[in-house]
Amino acid sequence: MTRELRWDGLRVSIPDGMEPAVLDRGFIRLSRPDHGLGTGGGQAGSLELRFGPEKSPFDPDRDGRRLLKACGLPGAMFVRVGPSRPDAPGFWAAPEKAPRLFAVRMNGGMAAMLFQAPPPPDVLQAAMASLDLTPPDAWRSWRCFDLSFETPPGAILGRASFKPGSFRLEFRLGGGGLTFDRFVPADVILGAAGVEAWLARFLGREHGAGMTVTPQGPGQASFASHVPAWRRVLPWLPAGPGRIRGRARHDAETNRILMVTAQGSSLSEAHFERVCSSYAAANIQG
Amino acid sequence: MQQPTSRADALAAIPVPMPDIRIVTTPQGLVRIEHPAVLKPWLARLLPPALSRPMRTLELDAMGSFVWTHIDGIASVADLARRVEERYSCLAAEADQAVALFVRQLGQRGIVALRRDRKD
Repeated sequence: MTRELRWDGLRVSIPDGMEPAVLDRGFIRLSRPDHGLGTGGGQAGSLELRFGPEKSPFDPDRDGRRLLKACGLPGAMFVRVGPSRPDAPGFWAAPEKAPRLFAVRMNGGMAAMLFQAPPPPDVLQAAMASLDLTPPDAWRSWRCFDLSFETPPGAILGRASFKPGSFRLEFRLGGGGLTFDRFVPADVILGAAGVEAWLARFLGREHGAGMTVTPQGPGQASFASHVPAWRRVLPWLPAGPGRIRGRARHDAETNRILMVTAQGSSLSEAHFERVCSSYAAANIQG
Repeated sequence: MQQPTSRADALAAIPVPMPDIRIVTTPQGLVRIEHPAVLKPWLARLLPPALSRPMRTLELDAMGSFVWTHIDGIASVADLARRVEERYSCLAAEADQAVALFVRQLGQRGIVALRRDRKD
């Protein structure tokens, strides 16, 4: 399994022994399986990251004060670490004596890292070195748990749910949507049936009747909703939920079913192909 | 059944099959469990103890059957989760949650009891 997390545009390496505990829009909490109680051998028990595009250059007196207060350090002050030029890469740390909150500027964005306790230098260095932010108007790479995929420019994370056996990440894209599903274990879910038969049943439950499933080689099928004749003639008319199309794949090597669903017309065919081909699961047994 | 107090407790608990259940394996290799129905406490108090409870049948799917075959009164929930993780290539946290939920449901139906070995 990957130890690098790519979430909502941010890339960060996961410190040893930590796992993603909360993944939200612009927010990540990594914690140790000891529930962040700080019993991990004196190492920091949890790491929280808040991040997003930088609206104006970070001012430690103005923005820093607000950040310190939000992180429960109202009396502390930010100290600049690294190059002294304000526009050069560097970061701010607080409190001065035992820093555990770090504000980092990068690629037009800002990330604040809050450790539960002052981190060991190697952990801090690794986390700092790995930080990178991709703006929302570019293709974004996502890597969380065993999944990796790409989202097109403008895709905004709507809802992410990680239930045992069923992961779902929903994105808003223009007037439509993009959904990534991952089901495990595929051999139990599919049983003796193939992907097409399972997909037809699944889509019937999710979207009702009116979906066409087309086999696309072994273990793979595509699906699309029926488009009424009047909409084919007048596709620009603003009515209806928009066309649903997608692709499902049984990845026998990782024993997973990976499914991409696109709704509406905001995703071009080329982008849809790129999204589908980027969606993969890592083999955690390897 | 006493409820575990934490995640660590839940994973360390050892599920033990209750003596009054009956196991049948279907031709498809799935496990079917016949067990006495769990009555509401107020109803159980009203009924005479000599009265036998009605039997219920629970048929497990392939994953449930796999877990059931490894419930031997020795393996803990964490041990069962590791077996599920290996067999089905799922994430460790996913296997922990799935097995813990499954064992909890079996406990609620009176099919297993949870034993906790104290490490003093």
